[in-house]
Amino acid sequence: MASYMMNYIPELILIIGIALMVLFSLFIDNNDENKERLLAISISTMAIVGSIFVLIMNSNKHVEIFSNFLTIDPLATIFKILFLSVALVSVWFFARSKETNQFALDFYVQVLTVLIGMMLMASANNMLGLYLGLEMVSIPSYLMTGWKRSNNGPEAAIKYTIYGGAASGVMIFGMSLIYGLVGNLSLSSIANYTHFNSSNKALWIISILFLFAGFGYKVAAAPFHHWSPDVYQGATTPVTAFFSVAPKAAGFAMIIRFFYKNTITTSGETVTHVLNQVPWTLLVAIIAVITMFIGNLSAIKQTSLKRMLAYSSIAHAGYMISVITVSSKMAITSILFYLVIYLFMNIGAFIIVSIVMENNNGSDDIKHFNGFGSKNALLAIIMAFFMFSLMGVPPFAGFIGKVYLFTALLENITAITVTLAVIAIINSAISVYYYARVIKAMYLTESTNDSTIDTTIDFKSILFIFAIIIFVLGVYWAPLFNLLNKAVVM
Amino acid sequence: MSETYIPMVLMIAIAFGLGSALVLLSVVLGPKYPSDVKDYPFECGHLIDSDGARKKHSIKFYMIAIIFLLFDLEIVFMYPWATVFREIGITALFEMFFFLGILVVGYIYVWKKGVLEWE
Repeated sequence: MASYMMNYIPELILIIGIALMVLFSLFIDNNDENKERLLAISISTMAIVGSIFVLIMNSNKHVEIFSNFLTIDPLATIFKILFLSVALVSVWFFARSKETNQFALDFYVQVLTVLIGMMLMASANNMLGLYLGLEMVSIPSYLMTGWKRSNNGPEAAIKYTIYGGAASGVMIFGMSLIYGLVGNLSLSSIANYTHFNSSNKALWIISILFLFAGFGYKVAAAPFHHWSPDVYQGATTPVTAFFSVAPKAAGFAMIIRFFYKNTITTSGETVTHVLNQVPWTLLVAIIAVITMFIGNLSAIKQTSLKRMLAYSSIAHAGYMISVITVSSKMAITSILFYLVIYLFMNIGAFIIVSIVMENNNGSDDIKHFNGFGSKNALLAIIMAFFMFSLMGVPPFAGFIGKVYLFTALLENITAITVTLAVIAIINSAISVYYYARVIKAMYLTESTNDSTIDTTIDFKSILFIFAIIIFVLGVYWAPLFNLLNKAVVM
Repeated sequence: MSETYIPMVLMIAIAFGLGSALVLLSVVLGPKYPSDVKDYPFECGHLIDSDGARKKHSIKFYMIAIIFLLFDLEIVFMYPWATVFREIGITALFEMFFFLGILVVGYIYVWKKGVLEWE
């Protein structure tokens, strides 16, 4: 095998997994649901674990493959491991969810395809690669949203498709403008662009603005967030949990690739670059402010828990986007660190929502959380952990994540960063209200019905592990942070 | 400098002349038997309804079209591969077989799922 193919083995493993599942889905007995499910879980778990293993083995590689189309570097590798870990938890969650029994082999094919797309987004060194990755994530996502043919799943899928199509269309228009300016699609050639002057400044601003339609759509940032509450509510809870973390992380990987490629060097100092002359930081700051306010203010009045968590995830995207304005190594590390913490607290919260929904005929209304604390003390306290962590209250991991985000933001003090930090802190305060509402419902409100809330041992153990991680990272986070910091080498 | 463009102008002139001559000749000389079906506006895949687009129509045409596109592009991909095959050597053969293997899996999938049956 050629040497460049050796660096593509993690993706190849997933591709082989997809091919196997497609074949098995045709030739196994269709009536045997359990067998099909077992086969799906075992193949996808093996493919994902194998892929993670190969990535960890080669985590120090720094090469460019396929004629500089892809960059395999520690940053891409750490993002890929993050996506694969989310998928690993999600595969278990898909398989164990009682919300639908329609998660057949074909469904796991979509999951692995999304994974390959996200890995492409993380390591693309070319605008075509970024776009291809974005579409490879989006198209199976539409299918995953509408997989359960009841309730509002298909409606959400249609909205998602139309919104995604429009956003990525605008994005590729921006890319074509940059191609017209630079004459090359490679991200490194943007760095070598020297013809920047006042006559093409407007064109640069417009093309970056258009690019942000795609970036903002993928990380669910306002004003490109309208799809996310409907999709999060319409899709089944495991799918929502997956969407709320993995594609968002992929979107951030893409933003970091685009803006930080060659704008900062390994030693961390800023170099002369066309993107440093375009006022894109102001643009990003405006998007961040709108995102934080829309996310937090809209979450306040939601009664559906999944919708509330959707708006909360928009707000969290806002905190992370505000750090994008700072071109530093610390900024990338803090975003990565926050994404890892966000993985545990958000997926954990969705798992509990899914348990509550199962015990209440599939309704995710906040009133079903009334009296949760007396119905099942263990699950309620774990949910409280996740809520406190999402709020950013010490000693939970969410607090440390936010501290690092704000530290990165205030590393070099300018008008933009100070304003952003102040607004982010105000928004953190607003967010306390709606997270506390869940805690209040669980402990201070009497239950109106006498339904019980309980679950199986595997749900409990996974939630317990997540809660422990949230707690441990809140007091002893240095090893993880140093690990991520070491990986941020461009 | 400008002489180099003469063949191009000639080419455009011939293409334009030939195209318009053929259309013109068929209008002048061709037999005309109009019918309802022939007068119908042309649309790929399904008939046009004058009473609006808000109704169900068959997806079969689009599925066949997408699968055709896939295998058409596969051939397009094989042409540049064939031209550099000698330089890359045996590796290229394995890579192309891997690629074709994935496509064949997809082909078996659409076949077994009955996409290729028109009825």
